[in-house]
Amino acid sequence: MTVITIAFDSAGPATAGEWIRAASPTHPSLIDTHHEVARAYNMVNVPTAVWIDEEGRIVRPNEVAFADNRWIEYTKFDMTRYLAAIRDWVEHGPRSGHVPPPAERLRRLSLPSAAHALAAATFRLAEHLHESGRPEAAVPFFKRAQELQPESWCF
Amino acid sequence: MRATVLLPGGSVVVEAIGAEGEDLWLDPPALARCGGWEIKPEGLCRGALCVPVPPGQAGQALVDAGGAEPRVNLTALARHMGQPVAASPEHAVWSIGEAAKDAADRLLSLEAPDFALPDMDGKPYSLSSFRGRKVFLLAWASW
Repeated sequence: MTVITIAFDSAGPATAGEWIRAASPTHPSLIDTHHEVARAYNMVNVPTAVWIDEEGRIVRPNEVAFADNRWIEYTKFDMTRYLAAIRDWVEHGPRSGHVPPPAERLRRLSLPSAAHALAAATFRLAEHLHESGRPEAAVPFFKRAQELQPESWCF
Repeated sequence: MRATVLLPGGSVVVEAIGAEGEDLWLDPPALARCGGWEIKPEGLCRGALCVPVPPGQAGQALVDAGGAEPRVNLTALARHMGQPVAASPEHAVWSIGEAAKDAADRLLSLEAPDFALPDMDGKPYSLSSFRGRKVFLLAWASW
């Protein structure tokens, strides 16, 4: 199995770099300044994990995934059991009891609504204005994107 | 006027006929550069896909054929196709996103969307290059 981490950091290595250097990971540790992956997978929060099989298919869609139990009161999700589930999947592949059947995978998918799609287009407009030297013009659009998808921490 | 149009596949700068509020009016060559749209007898076409031009009410027309050359309202066309539009006419920037339905259909295929991103040293990686291995994809942020 390959672990790929993706940092949703608009400032790129300037903000994410310190953390990546401190962890000095051996896996690909990528930076997504434009939150492309957040849009493509409709991720609305971090940390979020997805399990992808050898054929490039999603076998366990977006779910919260902390490395330990420091947020368990909030997430109600025991990460020690989660890490054991990942190991089981690595060992047993599709036969692992931690890989949900296809119908359950579809049910667990986080699908974008029209408001989410408009939020993404609005966020992109804000990013463009910000990057082309008009940060003050960008502010109302960043706010608008947030209003359109208030549950998203990625905007 | 010059307008920057951000599209799902990238961005283009076009010479637009004009803007009225969020509506962006383009001539056929500029329209072709914004997603490959063409005006044909059967309607507005993009590759093999053609959509009939809906009868426009005053002020909401998709196509205005009144002049010497027809002009198309890109904002109205995108919305007609279910694509979201956000615009800053003041700064001549239009952002046209992917339709929610198209994005949802792609996810419902359970095919993991591919991506190409750099690591902190700028080295590029793509998800598809890990085909043949399981991938545990984890998104995080420093904030």
